Amino acid sequence: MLKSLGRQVLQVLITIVLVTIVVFTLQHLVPGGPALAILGDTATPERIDALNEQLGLNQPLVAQYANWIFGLLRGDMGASVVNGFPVSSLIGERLGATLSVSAAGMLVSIVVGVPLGVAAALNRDRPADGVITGLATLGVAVPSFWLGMILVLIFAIGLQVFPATGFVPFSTDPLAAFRHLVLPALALGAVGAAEISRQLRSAMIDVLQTDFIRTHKAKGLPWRRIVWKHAMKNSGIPLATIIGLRVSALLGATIVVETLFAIPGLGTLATTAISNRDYPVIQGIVLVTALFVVVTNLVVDVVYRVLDPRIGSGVK
Amino acid sequence: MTLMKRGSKTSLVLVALAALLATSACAPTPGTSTGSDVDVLRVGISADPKTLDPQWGSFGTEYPYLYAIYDSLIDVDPNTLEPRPGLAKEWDQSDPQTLVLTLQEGVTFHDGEPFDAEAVKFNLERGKSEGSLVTGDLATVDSVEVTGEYEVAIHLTKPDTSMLLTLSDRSGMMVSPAAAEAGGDDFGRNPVGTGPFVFDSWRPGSMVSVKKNDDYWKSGEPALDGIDFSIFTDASTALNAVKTDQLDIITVVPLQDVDTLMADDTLQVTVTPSLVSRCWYVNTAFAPLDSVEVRQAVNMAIDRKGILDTVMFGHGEESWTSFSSASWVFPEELVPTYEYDVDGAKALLAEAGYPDGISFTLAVTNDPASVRLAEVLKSQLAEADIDMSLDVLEPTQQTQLFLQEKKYPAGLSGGVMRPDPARALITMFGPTVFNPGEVEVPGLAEAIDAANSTSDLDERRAHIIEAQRLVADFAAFVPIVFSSAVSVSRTNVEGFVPGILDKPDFTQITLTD
Repeated sequence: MLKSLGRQVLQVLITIVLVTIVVFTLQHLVPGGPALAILGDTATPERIDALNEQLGLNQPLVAQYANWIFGLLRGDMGASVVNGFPVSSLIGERLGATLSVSAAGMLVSIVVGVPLGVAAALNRDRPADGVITGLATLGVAVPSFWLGMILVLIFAIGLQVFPATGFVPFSTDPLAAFRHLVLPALALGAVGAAEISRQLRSAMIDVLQTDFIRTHKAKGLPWRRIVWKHAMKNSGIPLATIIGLRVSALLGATIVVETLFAIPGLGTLATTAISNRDYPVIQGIVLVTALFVVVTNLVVDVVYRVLDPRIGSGVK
Repeated sequence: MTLMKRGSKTSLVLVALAALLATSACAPTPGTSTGSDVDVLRVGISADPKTLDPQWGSFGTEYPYLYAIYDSLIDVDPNTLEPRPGLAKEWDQSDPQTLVLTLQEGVTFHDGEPFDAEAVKFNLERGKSEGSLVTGDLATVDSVEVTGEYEVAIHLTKPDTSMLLTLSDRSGMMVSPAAAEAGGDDFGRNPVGTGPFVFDSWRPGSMVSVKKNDDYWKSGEPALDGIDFSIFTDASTALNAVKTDQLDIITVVPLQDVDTLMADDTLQVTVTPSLVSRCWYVNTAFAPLDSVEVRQAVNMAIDRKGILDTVMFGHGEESWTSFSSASWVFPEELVPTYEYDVDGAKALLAEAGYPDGISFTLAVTNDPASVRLAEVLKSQLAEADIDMSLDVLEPTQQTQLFLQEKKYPAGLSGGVMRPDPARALITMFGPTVFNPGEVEVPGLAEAIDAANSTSDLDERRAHIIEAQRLVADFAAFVPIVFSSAVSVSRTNVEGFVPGILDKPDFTQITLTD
């Protein structure tokens, strides 16, 4: 067990290093650099050269990457080339907001998607199933930006029951924090809810047709328990897969929702950093996000093993 | 464990969730209001500052922060751009090569250091030093002489009366010498000036907060206890925030919403003239726009009124030169420079050797308003056999590829804004980065020098109008429209003067109850 865990940690590290190398190379291949973003109107060829020199951008790419890695090992993620704030504090301040919004979105996806998926499976080919499947198709198609705007229009500006913008940390004011999260979570969670319900529906339908479920029925076990304990557990693997994939997708989708709701998170930090070609900030965000995604996948792997002890143990 | 218990557990959770949702929905919508006896203005602003150091920064969107923290030597009337006393209470440029300033007495910086002639000298020399981005503004400054505790003489390399208004801009904003020296690179994140507000905090991408300067030298000001600048990159989101009382005022407003907003009783909307323009910068050495006739033809093929009515929703005015009717150098005698005339344009193209029309690519920034404008221009020009394709780029890419690498004959952007009109003209059409073709507009340099050799405003105006005529004859650029300045605020916001430079100053506002 420890050996395979060790191997997985190594895989994690290698993946992260590879991701940072790819992004580092890509961002230097894209035309433009931070000099223009910083100098704006006042840019002259001399000023641009001087600034590039000062920022170390004239060094070979390998040297620049190595500098960044060495800095990391010392615990220093560098500073924004635009405003000079340390990357670690820029990310640290915004991480909470993004994680809160993403978690809330994930919660909505699960809380809405799971019951709907089960209900669709149980009512297969009956009207309820049709309605749920239809909603799910819509949910996958609707862009979260549009959904967010509609929610703001109705609930924030129209009915005035939720705030239109902003983020409040739970440590400051839990009730206000909750209220600010509702609309963004709904906008983010719709797609996930739709996907989860569809996947769960088909997984459940398969499971419910298996022999071992029929055996439980024959044994006289209550239908409720069959569905929620046995069938769910066996549908758990596709569900865990979807949830794992949704986490990565959510991090990307938060960019749009953060802009729409003016939430100061990693998404808005990333878009500004990219248009400013603020390399240290971009690298830092990529590192943190990659870590997060990779860790999530690790967790999903562990969940697989819990749900199905046959996986990974070599037993067929 | 029985089924009933498990089922009721789930229901309990659901009921609790519903209760939480219901309670929170009934609670009042939170703004950042701190109570009616503390007046903090909540401003929605479209961009983070890159730095709060006036001399090491260059962005137009930083002005609201700078006006709160700093005073400048010369102040300007926001509507007429006439100079007014600022930190300099009197000025004398009877010798056009020497600007003598008499300074206000009894002013201190936020760190307690005194503001005096030595501080001015420090600031102007700092502005001319390496790292400063205002060296262009101070190019004609040769030396700064302290002639008294509160008097400086600025010696210029040549007669330059545009220096006065230029000192109302970044180069004239005074930083505390002690704080700047001690702070070094960090000063931009911990600014110290003499302004009506003291810097409090900066959370990048989120908010900049300033608090009232209790020792401000203009007694009775400011009325506000503080200003919180919240960063909203999306204009519609900012508008939603004003509508739901999370913000008090914004000045970047989607033009298509203006008419609906004016009908809303809970909001105040101002639509005022400004100098902000949309125009094409042209590389006058890049074919086919390297020919004067071709450039004139392009100008004639544009229906500016049509653009104003459709793209700008009627909010603005047609642009014929660099200055709108709001400016004291507006050239009534020259406008319109190029009447809309499609047949005339075609004839001119034929004369220039292009009887079958021309084709080229325009570099456009990727914001929706610019793309929309470019597409309307494209269809207008097509009627005059001008086949224009569009390359949509990020703003920094456009600067890089059009101005630096000179890969396009024209780029769509906004006119150069400077408080002094002669400076604006020479910056846009003279030998600067904004003139990628590096072709001189015949006679322009002489006209600008003449304008800067006299302090007499009527004489200056005459020379600056002459300069505009030269630019128009040479068709050095393609002016399109001026846009109105729009602000939306809650009804308790009073005293906001938008100004024509699109550099909003929120420091004079009072919040009534």
